[in-house]
Amino acid sequence: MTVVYKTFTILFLALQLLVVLKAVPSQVNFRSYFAEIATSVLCSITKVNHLYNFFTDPDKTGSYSYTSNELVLYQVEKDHVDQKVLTRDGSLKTMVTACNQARVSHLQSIATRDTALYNAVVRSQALYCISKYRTYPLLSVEVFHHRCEAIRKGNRFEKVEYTDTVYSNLFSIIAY
Amino acid sequence: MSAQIPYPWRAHIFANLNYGYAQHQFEYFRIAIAAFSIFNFCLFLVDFDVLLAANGMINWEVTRANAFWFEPHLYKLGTGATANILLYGAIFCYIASLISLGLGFRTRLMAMLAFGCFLLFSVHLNPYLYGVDLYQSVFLFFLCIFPSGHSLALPRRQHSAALLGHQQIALRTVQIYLMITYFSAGFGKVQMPSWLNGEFLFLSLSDPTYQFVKLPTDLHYLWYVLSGCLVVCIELLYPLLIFIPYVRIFLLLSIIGMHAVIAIFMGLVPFGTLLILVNVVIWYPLLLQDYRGIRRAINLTFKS
Repeated sequence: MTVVYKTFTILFLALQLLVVLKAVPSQVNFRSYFAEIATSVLCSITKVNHLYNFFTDPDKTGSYSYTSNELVLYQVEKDHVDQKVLTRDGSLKTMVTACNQARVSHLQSIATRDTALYNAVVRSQALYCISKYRTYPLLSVEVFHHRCEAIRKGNRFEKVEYTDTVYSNLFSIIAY
Repeated sequence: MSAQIPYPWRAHIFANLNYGYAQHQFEYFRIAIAAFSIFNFCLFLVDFDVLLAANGMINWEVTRANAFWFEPHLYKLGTGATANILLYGAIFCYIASLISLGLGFRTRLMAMLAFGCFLLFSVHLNPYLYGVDLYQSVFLFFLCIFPSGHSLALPRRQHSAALLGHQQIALRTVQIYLMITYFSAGFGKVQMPSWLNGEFLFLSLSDPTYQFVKLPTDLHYLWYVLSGCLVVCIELLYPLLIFIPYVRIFLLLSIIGMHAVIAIFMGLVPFGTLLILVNVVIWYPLLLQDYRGIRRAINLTFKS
């Protein structure tokens, strides 16, 4: 058994190291479809294909950017429009408890990475929010991309932001 | 004269397995991972309606559509009431297997069950996951592979020399895995000048979407420069510094401090907790050894 454990360790750690050092060829020509599927299964289970620099940008440009969103529910009450803001500091922090805030803080960044997935995610968010606050039938969603720069003034840093709107939409549920 | 090379690289990664190994250490690791996994999952349960429920903020149809065909998803098995029964069943199964794993009851089977449930939930909760879940997944995977339930297990079993050897290999695997991940993180950062001039740290700590407890951003710029350089150094040199007696105490205190800052100011509480826990569990024999050495040196100084 010792040999099995040692072999596993060497293979697992070698794969990790190859990924970290980007020594794995980006295009591996699999001989068959099943070999590709088997590799995907293996990677899903072992997570050997992941990098661990969560805090850095993959292109190593050194620039910092983040994505924020603003979700606002609207209702018409008599002759004025009442609004309920669901986001704080550009994220859906208010929807969950303090310890789970980081889990929802990056949801809107999907909009800049995977448009198709974000379309599905934002529709689901709209369905959830309008169902939860039934008196507010309209939801406005805006997603902003912030490119940031730090400028040194004297002994302090100051932040300069360039903001672009990357997504905006209005949602409502129509009951037939 | 032979060059002093850190011990794991001297012969191979399995050289001198007794170095820094304490009795039951891998079993403590098992208990720590099981306890952390329960804690991490309980955080999801607190926001059950938003995060876990079938009609939660990101409903099952979305996560099902985003999953590969071979990935497990409860939506494939049923919808409506059936889906809820399956979900509660999976939650019960996950928590029960983690408790059994922590107690040391049929550890490998329970680790596999817990890992299977974790994979199921990681497909369901995919948009909410970040680094901590990746680490947890790998650690549970290690517990599926290596034997972890003998001397600190509910039905206590004989601890043979072979088993001790296997647990030492397991611990060495976790240690080197952690070295690779820290090196990877440091390697990524050192390629970016903005990490070394403090700008990246300043901007990331002032990112409002992640701010948990607000750090004053009008600090002297040198604070960001020194902190950024320190983070890059301790991550990049972690695999080397951890083998230098007495230096490793400062390394691990810095690592613990860094994770505490991430947890407090960025709200990544589970991430900070897991990495502090794992660092302490896998290195504590070496830390105790150094601590005793320092105490002995202080006593000698005072006596003389």
